[in-house]
Amino acid sequence: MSESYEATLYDGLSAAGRACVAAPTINALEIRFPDGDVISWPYATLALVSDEGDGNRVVLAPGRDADERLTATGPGVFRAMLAVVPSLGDQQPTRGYRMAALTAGAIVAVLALVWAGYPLIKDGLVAVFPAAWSNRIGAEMVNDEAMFDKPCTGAAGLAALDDLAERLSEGAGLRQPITVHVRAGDEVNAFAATGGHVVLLDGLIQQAATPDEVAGVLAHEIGHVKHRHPLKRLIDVAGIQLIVTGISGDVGAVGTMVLMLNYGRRDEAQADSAALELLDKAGIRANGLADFFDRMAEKQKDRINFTGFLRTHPPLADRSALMHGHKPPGATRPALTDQQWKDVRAVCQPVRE
Amino acid sequence: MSEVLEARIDAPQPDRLKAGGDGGNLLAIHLMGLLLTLVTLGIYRFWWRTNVRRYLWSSLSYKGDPFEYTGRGLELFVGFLIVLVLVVAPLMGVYFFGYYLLKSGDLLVGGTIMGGTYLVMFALFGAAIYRVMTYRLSRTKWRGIRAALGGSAFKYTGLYMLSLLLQVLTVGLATPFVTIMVYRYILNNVWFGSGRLTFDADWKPLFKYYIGPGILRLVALVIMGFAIYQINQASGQGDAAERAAVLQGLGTIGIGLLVLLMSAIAMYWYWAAVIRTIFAGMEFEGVRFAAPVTGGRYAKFMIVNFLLVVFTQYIAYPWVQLRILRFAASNIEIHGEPDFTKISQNTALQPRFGEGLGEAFL
Repeated sequence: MSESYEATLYDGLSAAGRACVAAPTINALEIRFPDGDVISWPYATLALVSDEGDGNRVVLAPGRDADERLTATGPGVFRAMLAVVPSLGDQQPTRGYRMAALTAGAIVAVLALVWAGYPLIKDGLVAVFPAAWSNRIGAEMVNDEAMFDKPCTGAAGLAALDDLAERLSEGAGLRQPITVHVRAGDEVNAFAATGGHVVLLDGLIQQAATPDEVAGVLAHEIGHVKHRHPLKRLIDVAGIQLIVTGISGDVGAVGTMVLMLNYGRRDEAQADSAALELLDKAGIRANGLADFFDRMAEKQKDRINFTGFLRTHPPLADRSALMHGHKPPGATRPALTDQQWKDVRAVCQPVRE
Repeated sequence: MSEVLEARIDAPQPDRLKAGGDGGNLLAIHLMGLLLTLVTLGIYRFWWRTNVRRYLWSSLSYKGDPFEYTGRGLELFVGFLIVLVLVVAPLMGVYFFGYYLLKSGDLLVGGTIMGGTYLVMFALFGAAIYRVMTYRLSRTKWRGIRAALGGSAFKYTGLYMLSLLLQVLTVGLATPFVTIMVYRYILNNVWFGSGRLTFDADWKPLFKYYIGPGILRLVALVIMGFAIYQINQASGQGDAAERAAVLQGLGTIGIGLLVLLMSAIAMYWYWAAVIRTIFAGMEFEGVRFAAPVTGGRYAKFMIVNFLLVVFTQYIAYPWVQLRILRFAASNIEIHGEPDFTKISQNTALQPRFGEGLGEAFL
């Protein structure tokens, strides 16, 4: 027969206890009071309430939702009770250092698996992503008024840019034709969204000295489209969002910050070399893009560039050197006619006024 | 001499809570929670939190009997879903409706609707704080008897908005008044079984602890505002001048941040005074409390906690959680003992779902 232990019973109705003795029997815990009363708690429903602590105390309840509590004390009572009622062992919430180490290992393994499997998942998603969705998402992105200024509507200028885009993307194997959008604003920048949507900011057109420069930038953005970088970036952001939301519980939107993120070095290099190829095929001098990089580098010199630390772009000088060193394989002709260039420069005229 | 000795023997020793727990065990609970949360894309989070609370509650005991946390992960999860569907989604719908009106030219109605949703969100934040406290207390047991928080989240929200308004209007100087006002509402609604906690305290003695850090914070804000003004002034004066102004402005902002840090550290003395005031002002069924914690010890305690978490990249977090329990146990004095036979189970005051609102906002 097992030992019995000094205990106090709380009846779940009052915070005052009754001294008793807890005696384990074959299939129930007997609670015996000095006046001869006996209560019996079957092991089948017995619940463990306390942790091991120093091992000299155990708190039990007759069921998981019951209010009654029995606090038994005595040397080693916690382990002794677990030995008598093995089902209590499963209820122990604590698992110790060994478990901590094993779990840490499992976390690392899961992360490594995700890390290794992610590129495969991403490529698979890119391959099956419906073109119609890409197009709709891209259209949403470039129409986000919170991010961009007003759209520019100079019809002749837009037509000239569409012609240029068509000339550049000929034979590039794009799934969808390029749609060029121009937005007002002084910033010198351009973006590629999914579905072949490309945005040029008016600031870029105004800063460009020749149509070849605009053609170079456009070719670079088409290069991003060709390698499907916008969709890949979208998937990256959605993945990060999923993880962040999962862990923190923040329900935020992915939004158009996708466009604002810089591409990685490798993506930029890919877009640059695609741009060279496209420019060659279209018979446009690559020097335009090189000149553009030079001027950007010059402008950045005297500026404290807060985003500079974060930028993963390859240095402009390196990219410019690559372009300058490039010899066009055949005859070249200007990217735009004089009239077209005039139209393009005036594409934002109505909005500006 | 003997009189003094006798007096000391006669003065009843205060009772204390006892804190236990083992950091390694708690770490195991945390790691398992993290692992399953990753694997379930976040859903396990609610069960993780529940397991941690169960461990922490049970690591604290009074008169040899441990506290218990009886909440369930499922309750938190269901509460979260309910709030998502009934509160967050409609609110976002109304917000975007306002946005749509604004965009289609109806500035007045659209703007009012959008401003209104912001106000509602603010109010919900206050309500969420109270709901969280209500839930946790209702899931706290000792000797099988439940604790509870009465009062209404609605009234608390009113107080919460009023305190924010007062603090803004007085550039923070109303903080001691507001602190006591808010605690007065919360603590007077705390129940343990049929026993009720009462609390009253005067906010004025707290003011002298607040004035120093309060002024330091204002000074820091003025310094940083001035730096931003300087940077703005220099824009358009040429790249070199702009660069110099920006560098100088950054330096000034750095000084401002330093003053802000000093203010934050000085606030520990204020919070220590708040703790002392609050425990001295509480009474439970004839039992009085005290927490004679000094500003210096409180500051050291908090700064060590912060450093432990930062320098171990959260690995020491379980130990910090247990440190907090130990700090509470060693600093809270319980004078006297309630008549336990008079404390019975309270059958009212039981929220059914989890902290949903808190899940969404906190």
